[in-house]
Amino acid sequence: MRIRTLFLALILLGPTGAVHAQDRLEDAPGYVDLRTFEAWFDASPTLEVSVKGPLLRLVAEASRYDDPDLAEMLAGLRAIQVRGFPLRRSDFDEVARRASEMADRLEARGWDTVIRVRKDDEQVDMHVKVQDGRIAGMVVMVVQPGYDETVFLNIVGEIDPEQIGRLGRKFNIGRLEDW
Amino acid sequence: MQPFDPAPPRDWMDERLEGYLDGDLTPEETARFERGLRRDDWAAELRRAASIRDGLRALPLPECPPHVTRAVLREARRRARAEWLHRTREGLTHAWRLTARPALAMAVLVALVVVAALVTRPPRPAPARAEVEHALAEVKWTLAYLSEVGRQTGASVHRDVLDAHVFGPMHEALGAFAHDPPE
Repeated sequence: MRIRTLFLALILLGPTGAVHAQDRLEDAPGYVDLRTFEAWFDASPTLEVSVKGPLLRLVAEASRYDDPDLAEMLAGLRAIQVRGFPLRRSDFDEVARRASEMADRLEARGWDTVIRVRKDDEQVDMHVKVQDGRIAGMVVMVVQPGYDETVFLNIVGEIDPEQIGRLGRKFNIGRLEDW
Repeated sequence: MQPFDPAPPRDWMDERLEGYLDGDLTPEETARFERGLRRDDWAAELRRAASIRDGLRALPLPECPPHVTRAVLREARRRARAEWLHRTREGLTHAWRLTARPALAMAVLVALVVVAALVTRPPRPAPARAEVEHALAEVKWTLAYLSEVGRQTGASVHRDVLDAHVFGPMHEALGAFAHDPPE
């Protein structure tokens, strides 16, 4: 009887491992591995943001008292990651070409293009991943010569662009080091 | 002169009567018993005992009824089987205690450890307050950056596309119409 109970417990514990594996951030439809962009540059990123998992939940709770709208938006997200790189003007064409190729690959994988800007010294791409009628991820690629003007950004989770724009306007943009 | 040899007591004789008939006495007991036959009526007693023995030997051997035989054999087999089961159970219990139970307990323990390692992760230390504050600043900066990208892109589209190719030509056309309206 005791042995039967023990084997039943083992059988019940077994599937929980599979469930845990399915919940990996890397498997989320709106996730993009920013290490792909790191390989385009010789230098390390000059700008790096990686807020996900338990830290993101704590950030949401920390902002709930001062900014409930921000907390509500963050509660629907799974990860916010940003990489900024220095880019010489001589390398602009090469990096811009790679960003265009990445934009094409994202479109091939079902990402929708929201913004596409092509200038002589600036290139901007913004894509969103829609799943079940909701935005599940956002990717922004800004290629521009400068210290940290070339930025790659990925937000994973339920995104409301209008809410992001409204909240973002409240905060003054500047250098991240100044925050 | 013959040595004095008293006759054996009666109960001694009685106890050895059958033994004498069956030839089971020692030579000294046989000699003493035969000396005791000379007195009283032990000789007649001996003849009577021999007659009874011979009569009993002449009787036919009784046969055991078949149902009694079957019952006896059945009971014998039952007892033999019960004895075998008892010995086997004791042997298995002994083996279980010595080897199988410890081995099974170890296997279950190993399985539990493996399952626990697969399912659970080591508890991560909670982020410090400063780390959370810094992460919040990073999040706000990211949102501000996104908003700025959208604003600048919109301004760029308005300036480079709408103003240059839509509003500008429309304004020029309207101005020309105002200065030189068609008749």
